[in-house]
Amino acid sequence: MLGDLEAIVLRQLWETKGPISVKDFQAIVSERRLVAVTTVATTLDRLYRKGLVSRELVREGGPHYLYKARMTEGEFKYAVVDGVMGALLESFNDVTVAYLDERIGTKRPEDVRVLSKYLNRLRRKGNQ
Amino acid sequence: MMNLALRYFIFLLSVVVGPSGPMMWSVGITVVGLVTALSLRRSFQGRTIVLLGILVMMWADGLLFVLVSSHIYLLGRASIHMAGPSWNPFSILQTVNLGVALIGGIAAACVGLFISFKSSRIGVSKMFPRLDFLEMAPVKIKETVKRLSSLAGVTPPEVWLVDSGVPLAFTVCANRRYSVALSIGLLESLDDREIDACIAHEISHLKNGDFTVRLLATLAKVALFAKPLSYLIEPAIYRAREFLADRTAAGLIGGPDALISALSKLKDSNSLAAASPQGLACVCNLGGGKSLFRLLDKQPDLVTRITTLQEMKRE
Repeated sequence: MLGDLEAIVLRQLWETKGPISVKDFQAIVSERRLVAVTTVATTLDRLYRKGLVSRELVREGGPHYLYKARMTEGEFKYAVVDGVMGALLESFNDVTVAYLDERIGTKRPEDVRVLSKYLNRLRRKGNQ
Repeated sequence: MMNLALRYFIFLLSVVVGPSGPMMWSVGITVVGLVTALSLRRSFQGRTIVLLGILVMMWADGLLFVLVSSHIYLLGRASIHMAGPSWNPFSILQTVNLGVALIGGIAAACVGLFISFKSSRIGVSKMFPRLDFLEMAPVKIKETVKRLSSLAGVTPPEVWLVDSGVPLAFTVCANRRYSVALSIGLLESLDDREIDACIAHEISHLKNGDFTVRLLATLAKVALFAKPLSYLIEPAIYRAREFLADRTAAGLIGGPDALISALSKLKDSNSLAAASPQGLACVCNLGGGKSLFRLLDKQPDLVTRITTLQEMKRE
């Protein structure tokens, strides 16, 4: 869903919280990783087009954008899981079950316990 | 028979190389012209003229020389030709060649009319349906444009801001006016000196009359649509104009340093695709080429531009 650089930039944007300009943002990012300011600008633009960040145009001090993340990290993860699981549940069938069986059936008994816990919870909901 | 086969072969060869006179003279002139153009490493203006000259010669060759030569040919072989419907591949190819040159010429005229019609009717924002334009450019930018335009001796173009975070700078000819467009992404990631250098590059395109040169090159390519060589010469002219604009810009802002640092920053985020206009439009774009095959690129790559500017600095 996200490119390498996009993920780094988005994660950094969650950390910095408030609206931030490209130049300030690049100064922070380049402490950890050498990225040109034009690359940061392009990456943020791409995230904007994907609807993951919002920006506002400021005219004072030379026209520039102030970027901020549109959702928190939790909301973003929920959106990703929702995208995947939603599609999975939509077409819930033998293939899904076979996949779960193959991936976690024997290799990860821990996951089976977690899954059955969720299943029990769902079952209770269904009985109500 | 042998003689005919040989001439047929030479003819085919010259069609593929570019010019198509039945003798090799035009091929020779083309080769000499190309070598001259390549050896003119310092003078991009000279290179443009030689390359345009080759294109003009290639077309005139298709048209005039075939007429003349077939006339001579027919005089020499009048008896054969008059003898009846004897099939001669040589003269058939010549006729085809003449027809192709004529069709090309008509097509070029149509394309020329279309481009000038379109660029006089269509606005900047219609030309780039994928970009959003903000009309109000900051006063500082407008002043820079005005100052550099008067320095270059051209009418100051309009200035548009592009609502995009991607660094973009280009000049278009729309509504019979020239407009320089700069994106917010460019303004926010370059410093003032570098922004001035980008504007100087765009204004240099106007000063050097690049829209006319480009139009001529494009029309020549259309007229020579059947000659593979023209597909290499046209982009070569475009590239020469970019180098020339860099050089002129460095003269306008007193040294290539600012332009070098602007180009090195832009090198990291290649964003040419975002600014591709709709259809046939006259656009000069500040950005690097990225085609797989560099000879077909209309934009020289930024690394070469930077090294050329550095060479200029040393001189």
